[in-house]
Amino acid sequence: MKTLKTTILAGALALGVCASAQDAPRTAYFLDGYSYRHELNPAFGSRNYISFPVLANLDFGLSSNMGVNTFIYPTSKLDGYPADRNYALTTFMSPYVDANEFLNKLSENSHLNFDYSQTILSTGFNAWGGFSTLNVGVRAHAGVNLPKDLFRFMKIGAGETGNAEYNFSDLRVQATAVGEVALGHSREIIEGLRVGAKVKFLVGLANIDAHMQDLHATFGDKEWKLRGKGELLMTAGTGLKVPLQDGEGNLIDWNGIKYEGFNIGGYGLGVDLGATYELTPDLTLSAAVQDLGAMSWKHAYIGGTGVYGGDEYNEWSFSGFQNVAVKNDEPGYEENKIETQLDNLTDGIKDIYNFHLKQNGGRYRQALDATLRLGAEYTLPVYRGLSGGVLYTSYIGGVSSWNEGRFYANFKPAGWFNATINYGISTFGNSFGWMLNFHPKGINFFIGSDHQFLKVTPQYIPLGHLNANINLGFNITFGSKS
Amino acid sequence: MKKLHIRPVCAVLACAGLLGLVSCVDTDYDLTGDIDKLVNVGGTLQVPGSSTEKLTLGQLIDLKEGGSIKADAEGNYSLVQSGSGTNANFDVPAVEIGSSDAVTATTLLTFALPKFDIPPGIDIPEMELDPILTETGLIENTVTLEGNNITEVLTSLKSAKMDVSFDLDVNFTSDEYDGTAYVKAGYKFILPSNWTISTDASPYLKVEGSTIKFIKDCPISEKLPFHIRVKISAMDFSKLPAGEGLTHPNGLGKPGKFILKGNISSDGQIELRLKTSDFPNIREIKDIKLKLQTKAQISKAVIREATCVVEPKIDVKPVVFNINDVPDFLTEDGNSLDIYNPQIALKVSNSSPLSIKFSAKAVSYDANGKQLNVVEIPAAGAPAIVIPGNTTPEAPSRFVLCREAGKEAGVTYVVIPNLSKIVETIPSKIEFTDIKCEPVAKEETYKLGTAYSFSADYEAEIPLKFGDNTRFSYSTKVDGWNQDLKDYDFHTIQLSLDVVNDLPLSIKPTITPIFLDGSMPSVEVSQDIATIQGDGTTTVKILVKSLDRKLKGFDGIDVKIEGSIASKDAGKCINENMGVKFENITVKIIGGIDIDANNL
Repeated sequence: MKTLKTTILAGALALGVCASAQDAPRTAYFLDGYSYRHELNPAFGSRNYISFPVLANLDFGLSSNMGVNTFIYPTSKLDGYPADRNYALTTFMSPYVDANEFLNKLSENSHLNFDYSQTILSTGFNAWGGFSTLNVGVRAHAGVNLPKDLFRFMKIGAGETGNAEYNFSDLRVQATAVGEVALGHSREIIEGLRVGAKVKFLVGLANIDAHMQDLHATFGDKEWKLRGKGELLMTAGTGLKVPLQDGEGNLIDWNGIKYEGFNIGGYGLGVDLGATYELTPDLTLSAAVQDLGAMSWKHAYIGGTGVYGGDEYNEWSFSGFQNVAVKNDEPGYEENKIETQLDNLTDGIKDIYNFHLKQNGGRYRQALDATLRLGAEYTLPVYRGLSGGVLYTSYIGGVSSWNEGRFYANFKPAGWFNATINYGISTFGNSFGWMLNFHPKGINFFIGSDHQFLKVTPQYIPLGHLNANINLGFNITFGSKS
Repeated sequence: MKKLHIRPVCAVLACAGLLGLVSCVDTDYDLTGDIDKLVNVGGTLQVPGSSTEKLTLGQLIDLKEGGSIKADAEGNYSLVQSGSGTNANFDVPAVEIGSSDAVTATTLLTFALPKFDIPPGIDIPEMELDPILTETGLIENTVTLEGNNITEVLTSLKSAKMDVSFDLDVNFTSDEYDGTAYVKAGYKFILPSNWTISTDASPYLKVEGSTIKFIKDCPISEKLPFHIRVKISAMDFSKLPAGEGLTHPNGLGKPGKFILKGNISSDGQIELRLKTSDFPNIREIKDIKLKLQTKAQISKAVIREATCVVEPKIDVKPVVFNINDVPDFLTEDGNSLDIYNPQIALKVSNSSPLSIKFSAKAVSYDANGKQLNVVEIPAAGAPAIVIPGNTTPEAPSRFVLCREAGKEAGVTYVVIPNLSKIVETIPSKIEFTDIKCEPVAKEETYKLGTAYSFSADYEAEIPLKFGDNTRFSYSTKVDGWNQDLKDYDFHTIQLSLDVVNDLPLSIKPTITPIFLDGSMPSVEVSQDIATIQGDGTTTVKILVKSLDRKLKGFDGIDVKIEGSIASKDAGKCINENMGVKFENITVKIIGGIDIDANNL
């Protein structure tokens, strides 16, 4: 049973819910018929709806600024690749892959984020002078941040001269899962100006954040040096048990972690604010800021790379193997033999990144990753069923931050159907988005993606940046349009 | 109006279907096939300068118990090997000289009686007459001692100690007198002056040198001669007239002949003490005549001890000692070891007084029995090695054959300049052969009939000190690396290190990479290896670079070391605490390591 629970926890962490994670695709920002547009800007309203169990609003998202063709290379396109090696593909670590070609594909930080959200209950209705919403759901987010220097080191080592410096700071793994109860309301306060707000009550399920805040490496012909500092935050309520390694002080035993029972790991509160302004009958401006707030986690395991706690840096240096002993019957052999010195070398490196537990049952607070959106939509006067739009999105989440500008062509040919195609330019690269939204009376079905991959492997894995998401949902609508 | 609405919907659906569902498939990225997991790690990998502990010879050379290479208390290495001792016995036989026949000398003595003036008819009253003395004059006897087949070992004889009885009888006969005569005190027998004599205790005699002198009047009669037992305890043959003594009529080396003639003379007075009643007709007797007899006879003479020159034959058999368990680097073919001062110690005991001239040949052999070198002992033209006599195994004479004499008291150093030839290549065995022990012709005193022993123990002690003509080479192959490296490939390896060498050896290593099946890819090996000087620090750099970015099949290295001795290091002994220490070792792998993870 414990194993099952642990597996569930691991799954939850892997899915990770971030309070700030989007649960509505940006591609739908300008689609009036889309029931969950209020998730993108609380000032948006829509027709009354109530979610269909399970299928209300499913969102799977994978975003990254790296992809298959970052790491995998067709050998037929590599200079000097031996013909007698009968492989069609090879990895970026192949000696036949040019280091510059590979490294030029990478950003300074490589992100890989996975988002999942599931609406359990959601309803929106026009009442009390505006559009009000109630949303109950769970969200998960998992993210990894890999500094470019990590790959540079893997590819070119100490460089041609044997001397190199690397900055591995912000090497980070995050995962969060939260439940959310959100109440929103929007209304037109003056003609053309509509404002909205949403209050989110967040229930923390689990959170882990292993973050090498600073890690610098110097490789020289005289000395290798590492200097780093890292922080570990981890909680999943009282059910999470994190043991220590026997005889290793307060070093965490990762293999011994158990999840023995569900318990709430923390609480949080977030606020979304939004506004739309119809500047002219054809041009509407909108703005939103979301997830202003914080999570307060409890029952936490707090650790760091320093053995004694605090913010101290760990430093390690290696000036070569000294006085290597050769004869096993000589005094001092055990201390100086090469195996011992190699062990000391690896132990020294591990000490830089090994996490030591400093506090059990602690609390910590995390600000929610906020999102800023600025949008503008222009409806063609000659054909009101067609509009163009632009949306700027800024996700403010530390090393996971990203920015995007997205340009839309929206089709609203009928009252029961909306569609959009759009093109985004973002930190994660360029992407093509689309959505189909069917909303005849009584139902609202939508399917779409922010990142429509245009090139895939034969296995339909996106070839470029690993950006993909799918959003679909089925809801029941009722009443008249707002 | 409806038419207007449906058309864009269809268009959007078509676009979505086209873009969303029918994306472009790049068949170059078919992930179902195997992906080549050949990876290159590191770009340039360089381990910061490392060092080893000092690798001492004591650690590197595994001396075996019973092996020939040994370290002394201070750690100095020597090749030490004892040879089985050789023994030879010889004796100088006792010399027997035949006894002489008795030699008698007779002298007529006349004793004149006093004239009595008493008329005839008148009885002469009984009375004692005044003693009548007569000078005997010089009486000479000559005795001869002779012996043949005297041992050829004896080449000359100066003196001898012996146990000889010499009987000397004094007597007289007379037709006219049968009474007693007196050998007057002062009478003396003069024996050869080269005799050392003594007599039995007697109140009448005294021995003065070779003279036996009567110190008291001694009565003798015809029936009761006076017998003197003279013991001859020694003879000096040094001043014998020509033709006497030990001669070798058939030449030296052949049995000799001994002749000795001894002249025994006597002189003194004989006295008669008469009474008138001794002669009824005393008026008619004018004198009395006595025949004084001296008889000399020498019994068989056996010489037990002699001061002489002997030349016994001493037969010494060859001696072999094996050299065992010598480290490989000393026994490599082609080595020319100019051992600075090899030493072969001889401990010789010679119970005889005889001094012996020693000579031999030292011959070295390789493991196949092939003769390597021969060294004459002593060196040609050098003074002979003379082994003195009267030494015991407990206190032997000590000789050291060497290239350079030492200063240890009690040791005779025999300098043989080319002695190191014997170990120019460390042999499997050294044989001392053609050993000649020639007696030194010198008078010494021997107990004849005694067996003497001669023994020699050999110990080669060859300190591993090298002269500046030393050249040695050592090759070793370290391979089998491909077993571990088969999935790895290097493009360029650069090895740099400082060799701190306190060995008194200058070393020039040459390193050749070994590839599987003897293949040699296009590899450029550049070696910036200066000779690693003895007692100094030398930087060594080796670069192995693949010209076609392949060092696959790299299986090890062939290391050839050429060694020599700088003049400044000549004569320094190799010590177990000496060694080499590698410092600032940097291994730089340029171009990284290719790891074929497909096979891992």
